[in-house]
Amino acid sequence: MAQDQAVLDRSTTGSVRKSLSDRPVVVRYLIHFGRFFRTKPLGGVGVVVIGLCLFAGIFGTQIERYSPDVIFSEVNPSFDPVLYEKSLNDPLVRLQHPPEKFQKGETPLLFTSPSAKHWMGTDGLGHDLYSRIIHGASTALYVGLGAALIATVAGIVIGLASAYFAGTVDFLIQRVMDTLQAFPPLVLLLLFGQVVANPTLMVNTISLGILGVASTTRIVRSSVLATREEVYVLAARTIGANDVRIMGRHIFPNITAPIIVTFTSSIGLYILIEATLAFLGLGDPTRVSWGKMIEEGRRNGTADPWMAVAVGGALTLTVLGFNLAGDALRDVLDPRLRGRSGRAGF
Amino acid sequence: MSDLDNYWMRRASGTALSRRRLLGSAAVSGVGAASLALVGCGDDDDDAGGGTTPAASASAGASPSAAASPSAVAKQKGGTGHFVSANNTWDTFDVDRSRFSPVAWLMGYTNMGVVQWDSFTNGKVGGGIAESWETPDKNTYTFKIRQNVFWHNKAPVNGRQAVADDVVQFILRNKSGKTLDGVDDPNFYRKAAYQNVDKVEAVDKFTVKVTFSKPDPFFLTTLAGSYSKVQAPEAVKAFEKDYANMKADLVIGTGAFVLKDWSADGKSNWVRHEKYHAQVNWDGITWLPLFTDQAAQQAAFEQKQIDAFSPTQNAVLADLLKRFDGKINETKVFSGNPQAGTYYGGAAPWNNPNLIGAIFRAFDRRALISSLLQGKAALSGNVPPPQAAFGVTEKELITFPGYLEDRAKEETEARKMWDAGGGPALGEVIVDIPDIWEGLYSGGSALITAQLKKVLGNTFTAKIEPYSTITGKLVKQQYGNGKANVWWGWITELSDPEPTLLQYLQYNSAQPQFQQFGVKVDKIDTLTAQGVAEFDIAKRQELSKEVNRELLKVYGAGVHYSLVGVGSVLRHNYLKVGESVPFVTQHQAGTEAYFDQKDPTWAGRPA
Amino acid sequence: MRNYILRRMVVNIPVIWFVATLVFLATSVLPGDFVAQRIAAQDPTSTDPALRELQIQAVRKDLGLDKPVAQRYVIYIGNLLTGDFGVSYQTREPALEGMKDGLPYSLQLALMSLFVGLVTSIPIGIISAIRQDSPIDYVLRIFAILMLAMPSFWVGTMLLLYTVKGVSIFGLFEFGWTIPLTDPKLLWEDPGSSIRLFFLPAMAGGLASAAGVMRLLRSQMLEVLRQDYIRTAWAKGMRERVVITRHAMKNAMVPVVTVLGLTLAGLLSGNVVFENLFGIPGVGRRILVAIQARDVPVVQAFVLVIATFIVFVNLGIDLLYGVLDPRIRYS
Repeated sequence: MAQDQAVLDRSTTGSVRKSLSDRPVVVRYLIHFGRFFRTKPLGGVGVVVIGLCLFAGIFGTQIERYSPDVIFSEVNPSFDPVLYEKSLNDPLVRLQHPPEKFQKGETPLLFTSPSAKHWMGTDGLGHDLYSRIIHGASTALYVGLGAALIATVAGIVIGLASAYFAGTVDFLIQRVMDTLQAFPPLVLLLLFGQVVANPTLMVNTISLGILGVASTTRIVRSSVLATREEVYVLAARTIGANDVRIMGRHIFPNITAPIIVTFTSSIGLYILIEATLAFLGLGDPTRVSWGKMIEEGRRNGTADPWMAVAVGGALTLTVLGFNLAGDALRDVLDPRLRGRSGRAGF
Repeated sequence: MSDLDNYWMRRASGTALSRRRLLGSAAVSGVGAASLALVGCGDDDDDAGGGTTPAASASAGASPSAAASPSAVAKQKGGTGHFVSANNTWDTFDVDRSRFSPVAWLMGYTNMGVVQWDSFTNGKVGGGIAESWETPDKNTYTFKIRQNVFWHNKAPVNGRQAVADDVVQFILRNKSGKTLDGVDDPNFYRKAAYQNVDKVEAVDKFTVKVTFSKPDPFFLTTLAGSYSKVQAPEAVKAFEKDYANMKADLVIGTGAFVLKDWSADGKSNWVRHEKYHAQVNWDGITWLPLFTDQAAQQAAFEQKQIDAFSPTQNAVLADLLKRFDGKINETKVFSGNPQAGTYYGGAAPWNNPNLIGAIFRAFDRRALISSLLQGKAALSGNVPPPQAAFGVTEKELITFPGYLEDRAKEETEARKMWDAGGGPALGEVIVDIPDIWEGLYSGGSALITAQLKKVLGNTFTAKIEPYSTITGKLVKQQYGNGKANVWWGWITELSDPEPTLLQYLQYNSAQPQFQQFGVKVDKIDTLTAQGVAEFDIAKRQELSKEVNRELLKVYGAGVHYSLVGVGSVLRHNYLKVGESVPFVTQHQAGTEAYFDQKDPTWAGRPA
Repeated sequence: MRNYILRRMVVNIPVIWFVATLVFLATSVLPGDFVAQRIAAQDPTSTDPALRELQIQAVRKDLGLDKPVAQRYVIYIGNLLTGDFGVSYQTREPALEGMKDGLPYSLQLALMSLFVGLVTSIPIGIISAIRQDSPIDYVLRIFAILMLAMPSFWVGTMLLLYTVKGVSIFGLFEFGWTIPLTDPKLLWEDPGSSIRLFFLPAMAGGLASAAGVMRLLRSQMLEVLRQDYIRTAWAKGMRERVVITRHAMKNAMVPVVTVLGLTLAGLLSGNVVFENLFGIPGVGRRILVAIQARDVPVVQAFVLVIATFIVFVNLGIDLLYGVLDPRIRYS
């Protein structure tokens, strides 16, 4: 189409005409990457957000300003020594006055507003909120990436086997997947969490991953079913290639696009579900988790919404990032969806 | 029945306080605590939940005017109280065999006891089914039954008049601990309390005589207990096997309200018992379906859909007080559940006073109060502040190790003791934390373990467990006893304004419960045994204080008390209630609580 | 066609049996069983250990938990076959009672959310497909994904509290109304009151679920718009509206129906967060309570009913395909 041509022309003007494939791999990828950003600005935003999140997750301890466990406090200005002295002899005095009047010495800075010292203020225990948010990124990524990885790898293996062997194997596998999908998802997660009594982050990640297996398996299976009938698969079979080789060399490479897209878009969802679990009190309480932090901030309701807004913003942005990147990838990778300016990037 | 010489009044008169003693919210307790697990997001706890539970809301908070001059304002009739049922743990409607607070709350509305607490604040026991009583000698009680008490009009009792024999049957059933077919049922939880009773007889239609085999200073307290509610003998006969299939029809009492509908997690409704012996102010009471979310409760409270609300967050409290200035009032109450941990001190490692003392001192109670509880708590020794007349003052408490104001000294000493006791060799120490405690005090487990690690050097690892797991380990003596582990959370619900009986049951080495803790101190054995046999309250107070001191010296003797929360109950001004105390006070709801329908805030309240 | 439906029904039997077995196994290995929980819910420090053991045994026997797991499984499946779902440990009512009470509320919330979701996702999906990579595409998609990306418990809380408090928007008009939190009514009982209560959760839930449908519809539309017959339609000079509604949309909707079905199935199992927040006595809240109370018969009954529901919704979707897409024929 004319418009396509125009874009192509623009992107190559001023340089020596040279086929992409002649250039070194790194350059080639950079060019693809640049093109992705130009043609899919939203996807680009998503990638940048993901990058930031990854950076925070990996280098959390380097970029934090304070340790996330340090409690900041200052001398309590409201301390009332007379009342305090009275309360020592009669505990009921404490029921007549606000609690801060009785706190001798230093008290933690609870829910303070952003300041130069604490860029995002402090949380409900007196921790530095900025450092907590940075640390929360690693938890979110752990769950998101972990669960997506489990779901994808298991989905690929099971889906390939199911589609390829067909017959009884397929039937049985599909019934198990039906079962997984028929189970109300939250109930499944609750049961998982309760069975192990102490839902650690890893347990939650694994159960989220298992929950995702059914849908990945379905996607892989239907892609394989479509690919299996292709001529090149038939050809490979006629020259005597075995099952594993056909699956690995011929079918799998042709179904990577939907897998990559599913992988990317599901990460955001897993992060959200983990937050909801933390909200319901079913998360891993020993980890710094955005979901738990939002819940802590949320308790202040409309009276002091800052903490919930700050952490909620971080979570929303991350989920948004993964979703936008997933959408852009879908546009780019699925040849049927290539729009007026979309093209295969990788 | 005179309260002239009661122990509370004597204390109160020495202070500038009014008679009103805002002791604490209704106890939500272990039951409350566990029930929170049931509702998922534990953002409701003892001190918070208390205010929003029917217990506290219905009867808490003597308004100053009402308390000072009870007859000055005529209590108006009308209106149905709306409260959140923050708890749905139920075992049975056979109150003699129940130990769940919600059952006690429900029965407080529907069934009268033989005697009842007129005022927890003043330590005053008043009449129930019995109008008065006499003690001709130390081994005899004679109860005069009111002649205008009628049972609810439900089959098979059908509204007949209550008589002396009803009370006789009630005491006999609890004493025997047997079901009608003669089988011993361990679920008669209060059987032990009736063991001094030798003979119960109906002298005439309205007189009951109880004879004891040995003097029992606590018999009235037992009869006034929150589960000591009289059920009609014919109802027990008809329903004994059926009580666990909980239906409103099974609850037949002589109390101020008649249970109309009941559901474990839905609405429950009561209506006024028209033949109650006194005026019942409210037309009825409704427990609303569970909603435990603080935001939901706040929203419902703002719209007057519930009459009382306890915010957990200081910010919310301040915001509501500002926005509803002059329309709502705040009452602070102590929690019914102290926070503490327990351990088994009968074997290594926790039989070493150095180790247990080190943990006791390393634990920074003030830090927990100021950060986790946002300041809303008080330090507590083994006698918590709601029972202050029986414990040492805070002034004395802070001279004991573990409670010192000098934190640096505490930490140095703790470390010294830890090292001397061989603490570093214990390696990793596990700290079990109830899931609902962590749910309410988000981040609390990390705070506690970080503190202990900082002071003592070992790795302390928090493990979040359901209460049932922790209790299971507790009774099997699995905290300590070869393992390096402890737990922390809410412990024993306050059930009595006086700690004497509990001290005896818990710390006296002759008692079975003692086995859970196993810290034997001869002096404590002597003092607690003296306490339960002492009739003079003033002397019991001194004995109890002495027990308190001895316990503090041995780092709690198995029960590591630390602090007691202070909850804030917000009420719309139209709601007038009886006293606010950390005990079950539903039996006062019928006559004490009412709606002031002339108050401007009454307008717009949904019926 | 009839054969197909029959065959699908038969295939569903093992699925439901799997679900039953799975939920039985999961619930029988739950640590801290109902008995322990019930006994432990008591005051943790003041019970005589020996007495406690006796009480535990008594309650276990009462609930039939003293039998070995295998025997309990056989009894359980046997009872299921006779339509007996057991009795709730907690309330001693038939285990399905709570489900029956809760389902209308959850159903109403689900359908209202679905409605909101459809009303927003279909136009957004179509517009952002036909205007792919234009500013309007970006704005609409960001809006839809933003709704998905915000944690619902937080959005719900803020909507609830600000609505109750009342917000003045630029001084122009006052936003806020009374939400009957403690008196939940169904649409057919009291429409006005019901809508005041369900409006916010339906909006929040619906908008959040819209993103999924929107994204699928968009990619389907993009695919369909590149088909030859659409090109032909354009070439014939048909108006855009006709091309989109009559030709493209009909085909793009087929897979969207699947997602809608799944969304509905998910919504049916109840929305714990909104039900808790808005005091709606639906299925989700009841099941959460049952799991945490270890009320095993209730959990089992709920899961089985919901699973059966989902299985049949899936069957219904497959049949709907045939109606929507004449190329699909079942035999």
